[in-house]
Amino acid sequence: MSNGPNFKTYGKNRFTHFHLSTFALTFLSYSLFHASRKTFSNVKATISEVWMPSCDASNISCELLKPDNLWNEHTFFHDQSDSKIFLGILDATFLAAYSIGLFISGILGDRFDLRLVLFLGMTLSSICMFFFGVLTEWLSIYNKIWYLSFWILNGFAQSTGWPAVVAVMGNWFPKSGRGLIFGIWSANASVGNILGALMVASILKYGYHYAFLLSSAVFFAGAILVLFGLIPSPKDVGLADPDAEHKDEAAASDVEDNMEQPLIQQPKAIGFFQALFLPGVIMYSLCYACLKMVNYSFLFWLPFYLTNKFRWTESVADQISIWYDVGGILGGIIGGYISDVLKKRSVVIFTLLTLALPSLYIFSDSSDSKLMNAFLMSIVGFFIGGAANMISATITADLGKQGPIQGNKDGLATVTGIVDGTGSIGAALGQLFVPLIQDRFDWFYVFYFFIVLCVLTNVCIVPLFLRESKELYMEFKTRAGYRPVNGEADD
Amino acid sequence: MKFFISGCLVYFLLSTAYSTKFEEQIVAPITVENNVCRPEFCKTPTISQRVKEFCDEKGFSMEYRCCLDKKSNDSIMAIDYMGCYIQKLSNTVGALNKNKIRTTEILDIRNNTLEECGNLATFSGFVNLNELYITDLNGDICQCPGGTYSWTNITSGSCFGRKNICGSNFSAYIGCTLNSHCVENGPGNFLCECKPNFHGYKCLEEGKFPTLIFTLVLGISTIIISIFLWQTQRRYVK
Repeated sequence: MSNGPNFKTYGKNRFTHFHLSTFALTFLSYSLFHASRKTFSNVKATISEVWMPSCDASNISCELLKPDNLWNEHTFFHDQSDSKIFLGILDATFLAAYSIGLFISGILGDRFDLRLVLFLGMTLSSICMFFFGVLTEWLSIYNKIWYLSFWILNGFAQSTGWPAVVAVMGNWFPKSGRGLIFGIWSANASVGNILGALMVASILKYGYHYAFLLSSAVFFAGAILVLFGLIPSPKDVGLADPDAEHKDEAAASDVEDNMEQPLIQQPKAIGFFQALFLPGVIMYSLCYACLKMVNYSFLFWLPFYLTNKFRWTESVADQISIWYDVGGILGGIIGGYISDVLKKRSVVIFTLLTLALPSLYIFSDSSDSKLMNAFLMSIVGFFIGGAANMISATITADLGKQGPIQGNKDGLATVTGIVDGTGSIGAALGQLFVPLIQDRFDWFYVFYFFIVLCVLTNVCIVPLFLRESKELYMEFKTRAGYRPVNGEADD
Repeated sequence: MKFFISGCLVYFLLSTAYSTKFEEQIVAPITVENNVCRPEFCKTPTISQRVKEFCDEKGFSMEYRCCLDKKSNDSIMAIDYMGCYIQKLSNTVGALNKNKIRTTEILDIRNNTLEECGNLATFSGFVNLNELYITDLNGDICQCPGGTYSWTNITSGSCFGRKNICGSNFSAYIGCTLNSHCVENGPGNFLCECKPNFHGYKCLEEGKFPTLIFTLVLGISTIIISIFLWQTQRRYVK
């Protein structure tokens, strides 16, 4: 440690308590982002009940329940399928705003105080949630324009989250410590989903709007914690740039191209197109677009699917769907660790997604046993959620810190914005397709659609997969040939 | 921003207020007939033997077309609309003030010129109805509302012996939801009322959200953690 005050440090990477709190705060912050998104997907069945009278317009023989003020007063929709399509449109517009927002937020994040960007994003989003879910019910405002405008605004607000937290993490944690730390840290989205699902499940009985109230209030509390606690960069407290002290050992642990570039001492933000044309960025962006379509379809529609198919209550469906995220966390950590050991990411992603195909098929055909569904869901989550977690955090960080901009982390938010933004465009399209396919055909075909998307994801990274497999094979041959005496350490 | 949001709010409030008003005009209900005993649709004097008999037997008093229980707040115990030239049940019997007919045990609408029997809702509110005479001059045009689900003894044009529709298997095909239960509301009619502790639209809400405790816990813990974070983190920022 060259300059700066003497803070107590731990571990070989000289982590201070600032590292711990940065990890915790960014983790918490992004978990809350996801928890608030999960809120909407987990109240869909209830909200669509609230929008409709007791009889579906398509069911002619249905007798309206009485008294009218209790059962038939709300006529926002008369038809279950109309309300399902509107829910799909809400998801799609949210994701469209979110993905456009990501490109912008990434650029903003590299140029303004990350703490304030994050705080404002969280606050705005929590206000939108309140207007969208709480005020509508309290004042009985069931209005498409109202819903759409606040959900679009929420999409923009939410887009500040990922680029900002990844950039803060990138500022604090050096490349050498990235692999496993980012692997564990990227569980934040899944933890957020679980947190959101639990919050909703525990509170849904009071009314769906209380679910929105709870998550928007907790989200705002999280924003205040970020405002009072987050330190965007070690430089802010006079600590040295972590990558500066690691320049000697950095080369050994780098995953992508090992071209040593002269270190840029004075970081300045890179341009959007410069970031876009970094090697691998476009390829992984496309790959992530396909994968995120599947991942978000699960995130947004799984409880609805379970409620629909097995006639489970929404609370039960929400609780069971948590297992998808549990699988995703494990998949991300284990996949990330293996990729650290192999020093190859694409091979792991390719394998995960290939194994996802049969698991998707089996899940689509599962019986209505809760245990069996939970198990299959965690398997699907392991492969799909795990691969998605790896791409969105670890691989994005690799891409944002590689070759030409090594040591210049002020490109990281922009690259994160590009990869996640493209991914979210895919996810947005998916939210349009899922209700359409399900309405026209059946849930079964939705799963076929997912399988096709997983294959497409794999196709996008075939060139990287082939290159890395060849490298792995060569490495294996060399190792087998030389048999080093004191076994090469992996890191 | 603030102006935008409040502007939106005002706009939407106004638009919803107007839209409900508009809807009310379109689906205006049939004018409620408040005067059950001397209704617009029946000006002739009472003629039903059965109602008169019942009234004498129980010690109630006849007043125009009603048999009233003077001791119990003038509650209407029986109604005689016999020979009133009623053509449609939906805008006559169906339009009676539902609060005034709750106590009615006998309804006689024989010898009218019925063309239309109304729907199930026509007889809603006759919670205590035990005898219904419905034979028309032209023959048996109208059925007993609720049929065997609501009556134990159905003879040609007369319905006797009410049963609770909620106890029969009627609700098997029009069931209330899990959070609500069936409450009898006249022959052929039932309401789905929220079970105890359930409320809100479609009884989807259960219990009361502990707003105070929630606000206190969240607020206080946020303040404490914020102070802690400030002391350990942001204080060092130069």
